[in-house]
Amino acid sequence: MTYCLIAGSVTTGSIAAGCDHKPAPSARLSASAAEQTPAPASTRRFNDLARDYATQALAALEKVDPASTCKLTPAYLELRSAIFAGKAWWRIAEREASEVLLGPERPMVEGGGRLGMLDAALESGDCKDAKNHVFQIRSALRLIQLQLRTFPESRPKSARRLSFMAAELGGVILEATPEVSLSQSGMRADARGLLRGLREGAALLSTDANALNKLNGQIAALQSALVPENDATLLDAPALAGRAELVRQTGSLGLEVRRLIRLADPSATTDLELPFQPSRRDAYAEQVRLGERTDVAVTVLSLPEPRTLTPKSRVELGRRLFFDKRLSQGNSRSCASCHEPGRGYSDGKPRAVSLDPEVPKLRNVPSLLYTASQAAFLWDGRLLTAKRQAQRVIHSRAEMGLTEAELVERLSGDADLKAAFTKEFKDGVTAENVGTALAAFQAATLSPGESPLDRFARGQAPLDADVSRGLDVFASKARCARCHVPPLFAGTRPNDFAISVFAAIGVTTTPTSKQLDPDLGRFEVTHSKADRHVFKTPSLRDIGLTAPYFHNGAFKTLEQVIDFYDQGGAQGLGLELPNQDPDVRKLELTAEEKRLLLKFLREGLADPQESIEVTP
Amino acid sequence: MHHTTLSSRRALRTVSYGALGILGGLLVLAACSSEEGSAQEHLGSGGSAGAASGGSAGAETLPGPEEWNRDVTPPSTEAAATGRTSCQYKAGALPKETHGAGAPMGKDIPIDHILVIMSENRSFDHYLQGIRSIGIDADVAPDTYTNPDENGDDIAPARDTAYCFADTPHSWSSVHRQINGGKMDGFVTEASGSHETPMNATLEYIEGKRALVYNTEEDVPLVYWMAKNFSIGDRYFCSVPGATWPNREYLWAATSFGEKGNDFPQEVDKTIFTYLNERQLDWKFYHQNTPSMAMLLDEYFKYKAEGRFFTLDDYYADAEAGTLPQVAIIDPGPDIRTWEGIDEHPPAQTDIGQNWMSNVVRALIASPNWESSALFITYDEHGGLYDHVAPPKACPPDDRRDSLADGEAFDMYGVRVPFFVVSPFAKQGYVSHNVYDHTSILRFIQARYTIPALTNRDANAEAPFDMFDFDAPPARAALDVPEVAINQERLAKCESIWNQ
Repeated sequence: MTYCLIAGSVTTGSIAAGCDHKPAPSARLSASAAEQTPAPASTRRFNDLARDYATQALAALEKVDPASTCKLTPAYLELRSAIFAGKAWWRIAEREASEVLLGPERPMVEGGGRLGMLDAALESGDCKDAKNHVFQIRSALRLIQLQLRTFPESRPKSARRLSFMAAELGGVILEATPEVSLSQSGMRADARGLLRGLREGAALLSTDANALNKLNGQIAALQSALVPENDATLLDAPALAGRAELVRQTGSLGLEVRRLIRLADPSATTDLELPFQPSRRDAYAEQVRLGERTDVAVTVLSLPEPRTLTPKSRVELGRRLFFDKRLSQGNSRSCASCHEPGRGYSDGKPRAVSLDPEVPKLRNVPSLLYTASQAAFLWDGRLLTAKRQAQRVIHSRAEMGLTEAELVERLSGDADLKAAFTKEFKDGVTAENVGTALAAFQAATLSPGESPLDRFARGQAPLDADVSRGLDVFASKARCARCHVPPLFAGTRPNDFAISVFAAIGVTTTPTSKQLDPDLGRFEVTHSKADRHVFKTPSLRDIGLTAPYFHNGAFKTLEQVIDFYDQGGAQGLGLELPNQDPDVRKLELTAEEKRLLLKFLREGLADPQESIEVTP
Repeated sequence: MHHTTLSSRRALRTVSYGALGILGGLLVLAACSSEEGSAQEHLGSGGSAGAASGGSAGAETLPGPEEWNRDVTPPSTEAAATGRTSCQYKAGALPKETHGAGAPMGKDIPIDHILVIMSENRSFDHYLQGIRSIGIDADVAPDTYTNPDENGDDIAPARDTAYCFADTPHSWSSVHRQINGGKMDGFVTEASGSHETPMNATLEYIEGKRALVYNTEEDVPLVYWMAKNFSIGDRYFCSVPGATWPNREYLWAATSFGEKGNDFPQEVDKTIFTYLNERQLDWKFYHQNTPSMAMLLDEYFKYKAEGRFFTLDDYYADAEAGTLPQVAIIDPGPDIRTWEGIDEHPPAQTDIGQNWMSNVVRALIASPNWESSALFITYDEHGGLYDHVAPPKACPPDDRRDSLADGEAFDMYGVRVPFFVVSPFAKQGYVSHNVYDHTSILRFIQARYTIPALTNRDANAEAPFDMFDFDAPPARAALDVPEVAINQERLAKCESIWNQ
């Protein structure tokens, strides 16, 4: 089933038949009239609902006995479901206990808190520490339950969390949140919990029967996809199919929720209720008008708006600089020499070629595509912004090799360029401004968002059936989305794309060797043992263009990469890597699953070349 | 005057405590479920707090276990000091047994109201780097102090210009890397590896360098004013090289029950509150959100039922009425909106916490109870912010190692934090160089009310007596607590960065 969003209502239809995304004037009027009489809100508080979930979770926990049965039980799934129903409000009312239970909202070290630890114990069948996990979970729930008695509730803030829950549901369905269960049955319980919280929370917002019915219809549709077919599969649920479509439905769910929020509080500001601001392109495609207001569907497949929007003139200045060889020692190379537009802004070589004979061995050139919303740069993540990355490369002796003074002197010598700088920046040509302009260029032009998945997510085109099945494999059995998080399929997570995921996967010196690549990666930045052989999780968008792969560029094809993951990283080869990411493990993918996965990566995430390429 | 009022109220409480203890607890629970404020108000005017005549301790027999009132022949001052530094004393030791003959004990300590504020996540150097500019000779980072950054370049401390930078890391493992075997140079690289990115901010809010920023008198005027007018300690270390919970647990119980991180401790047998109740002392816990002793979950439930928790507004009322209890915790607690928390935890803008704290101090100084009060102010831990003094060895509190790995122990203090004593008996502009930690505050309470040590940590802790002059308190000019203005322009900027 597909749908179009027209003027505040969601209608089902066929994308192939074409959807008209322009607001229809008559519908706009009727939506406006409908919103003029706010429905009376329930007097029950969100805190009461959230406390009920804590009570239910505690009751379920009493039936979870990992010591005697170290495996999934119905009670454990009830526990998860109740936690996912209530946690959005718990995190507001009792942050510290929620962090014990689930980990911080923006975790530096992921693992889903004590619930995640218990989940991992049940999944692996190693419950030696489970008693303590249960104690911590119980303590956290008791404290949450108690504090919710007196916590001063902010109704708008509580309502806002409903909108976020709709988007989070998409993350859970793609198994891409730090809190989602490791098992298929657990994931379904998590998703059902979110749906329950949404349904019961929405009922507190408004008594408008029409609006509630519409929302509940959508919830029921998703629910039916998530409930096990029978009791026999409750604890051993099959992998969910058709996830792309389910995720898209979370977008209309969010729209309906926000409609209810505005019914309850006409002064509510849509921007504040959105989980994140989608890119203008996405916003335009799925814009919904509601009276004088607009809203947009946002899912975990929506691309975010770049953090900094800059004037076109600055972008143009950055584009000029990007292709300018004067930015390097001996006029030998421009940014585009290593970040070639025709090669996904990489260079096709295993490792960058060094200008400095004393630094012979650089790492593989990372692509510049979709860097606008990333939170760390370079393979070891030592730089935090695209601007600093650009500056660092220009000044690095091995890469472009200009001092700040040399850079400024050269560019100032070009009267035309100097004038462009002076027009753009008060202080004219400076190394900082060169970085700013280059970052502006990247942010504005190198996140095309025209892949089949993007077009599907915007309701512009159907998704090829094999690409869709490939995404299902990607999200479930291959465990890719746990680190390569949509929508960027990189290490930054919605809603704020604030923190970069790093991981040790144990890349070998060659695809066939049994030798760990000696590069210590992020350890060089943090000196933490846990960061040995740890690297940034790069974006997989346009991955088909950026071979060879990994930080050492030793893997020529995506087939080799998938085989590497399939056999379980370094540990799978019997190599010593104690800090290997637990999601990198033997996958036992079938040949067909590998084919689908490759199809998704090569086609589903591929932007058309013309949308990527920028010319000097 | 107020003493009369107090003792008559206490007599009343004795009756209700003895006869209606359990029933009273049930009533409190029921009341809490409707409206906390009114329940607390009710308790405050006739609840269940203990019964002791605070002004007449010392030689006379206090209620409580008989062995606590045992006769003690104190060791010599030197022997006591040696005993403490060699971790010779054990749980159960009375303060007199560990402090030597010269130390004041019991009612010789003219303090009837001991108040404690433990704020959040600021290091000594981070707050007091510029203290010498006002003539206070405390040990702050020398001009040569630097940390290497992730590229190996030297970073020197600089004034904070972000005002609400992202939290810096302070887990057990992070703090050990910051301390770096005593070199105290791992703050920048550790913070480089760890940050939350405020979406609308510039790099200074998240770069590793933010761990090396300091505040000046302009930024933290109350800190400077307290240093000028009262006493500070420049060898006061937090109790654990780790995060909030274990450090606070040392303030509540002189141990973290084997936990090195923010996990609920198990098998909590006793806390200072257990002993305050055994002595039937009047104590209150003033707070705003979840009280910061809630991680001791069963204790929290128990004392909530007992009616020990009060709002921050209740503190001002008690101060004004002269009805402050014998022991009070004034807990700024975590704020939901992190950038405007009064607990000073980054990214909180510091003038908000300083503003709040100045109100607390002003209310105390104006209180009829002031003449017999001592307010201890400290910070739970350094929060990942720089300090140049390597933490010394500490006495392990007990044998518990619930979350410790092999080779780990609770045998080293955490990083230095600011420590102030605000009291009419506090020396003026004085800097104590004695090694203290959070359990030194416990030891002071224990010394005043003849209470034994909870664990081996507080048994070997020194009470901060040198920061007081009980015999000849300094003659102070009028104490004008600075009005700390909250910079609204900064606040608007911080809100735009953090309110997502």
